[in-house]
Amino acid sequence: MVVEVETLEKRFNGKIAVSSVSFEVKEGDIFVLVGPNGAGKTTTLRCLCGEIAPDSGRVRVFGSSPFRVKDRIAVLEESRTTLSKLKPSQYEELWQLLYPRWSSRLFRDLILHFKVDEEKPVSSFSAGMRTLFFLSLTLASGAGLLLLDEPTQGIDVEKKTEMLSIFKELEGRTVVISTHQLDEVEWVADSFAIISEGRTVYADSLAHAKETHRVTRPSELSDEDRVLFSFDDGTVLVETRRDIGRYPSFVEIGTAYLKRSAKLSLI
Amino acid sequence: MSERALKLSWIEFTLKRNFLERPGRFFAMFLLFLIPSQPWRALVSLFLFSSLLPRDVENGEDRLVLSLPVRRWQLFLGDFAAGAAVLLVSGLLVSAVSGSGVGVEPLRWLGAMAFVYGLSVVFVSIGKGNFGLPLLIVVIDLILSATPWKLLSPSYVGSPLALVIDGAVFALAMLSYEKEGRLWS
Repeated sequence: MVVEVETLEKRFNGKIAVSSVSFEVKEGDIFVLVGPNGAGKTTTLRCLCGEIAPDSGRVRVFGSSPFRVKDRIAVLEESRTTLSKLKPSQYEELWQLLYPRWSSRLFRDLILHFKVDEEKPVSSFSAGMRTLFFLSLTLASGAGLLLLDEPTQGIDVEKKTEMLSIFKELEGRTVVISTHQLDEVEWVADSFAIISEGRTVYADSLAHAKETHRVTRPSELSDEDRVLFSFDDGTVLVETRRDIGRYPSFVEIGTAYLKRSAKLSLI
Repeated sequence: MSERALKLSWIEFTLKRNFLERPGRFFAMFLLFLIPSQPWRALVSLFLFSSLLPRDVENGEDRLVLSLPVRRWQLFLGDFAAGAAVLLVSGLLVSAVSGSGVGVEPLRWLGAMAFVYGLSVVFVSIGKGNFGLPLLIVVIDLILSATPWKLLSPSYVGSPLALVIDGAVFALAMLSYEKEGRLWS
């Protein structure tokens, strides 16, 4: 496993940000961390890249503490904070000092492809252009693990598809994407974890999740099916081994588990 | 890149980043530090050092660097090294030009720098801002340095004991930053 997270807990000023997050990511997988805003996705990624330390639980990256393998991890940070007044080539100068497998060729190709203006400071870029620029840095780092916080934020549909295709084509590199836009990442996800209010509510491979869940009519149910959620159109998402109804989409699985978790926490 | 070179690359990164990002600020402080007065230099140091890592922490701007292969203690030391290098060169230049000789002066400058940087990091770690309270403390300390307090004064640095205090504040600040400010809660 490239990433192992076990009952991760993190508090800020006594307030719980993450209370029990657990999941594993296999080498080469595109893993999606799903959850609403404030669920604890960004905090989890910050612990994964060694920016902050967990209060309890266990986080291992490439079998070590993240602090020991920071040069094998590249991050697309959620806030897209920039270094004042620096231009793309100056970022390149800095980034290549820290990443032993930095590829200037790939960086040049990407910024050319995304039409990044090299004459302007990055701080003057639009939100979408900043995302594409930082993504270029992340990809060119040569790091084996890419942690991407809301990578589709502010990007037009065409570029989003292009970008997700690039992730799909990466060989031997593991990608963790944090997002609340399930529909956008379904076609690239290999595995996922759904987190809500700082806890993992479900983690699985997408193929296995689809294999073990169905969307069906209540009339088709038997005692061995476990009803997880009722949709507005009268259908239900069930956990079952029987071949009934139809396969659920990633959006349906995510929505069902998140809404179910919200309902349970209210009881 | 050899393993040793990679292990040291954070130093080059933090120095280069500071000089690329803040050339105007470093140059202005370089000029102000040319005035040969320890109290004045302590104040100039505070202006510079509080605007490095402490201001980034205050604005949440240290997160970008921490998401890179740079650890907290490395960022803390790297920013200090960048500021100290500029101010030391400025102070040594004055001594060389005036032919006054340096003696232990660079140690006094470094002590004051370590103190004001540490103070600013500690205050920002507990959410009290990077500049206001540290300035108040340094001003009071410098006023008191007209009395025998100057022997202990961490900004005036009138004796080796004051250097010990400076070192302790610096170490405490580094520990505080490494522990994400939790040393105090």
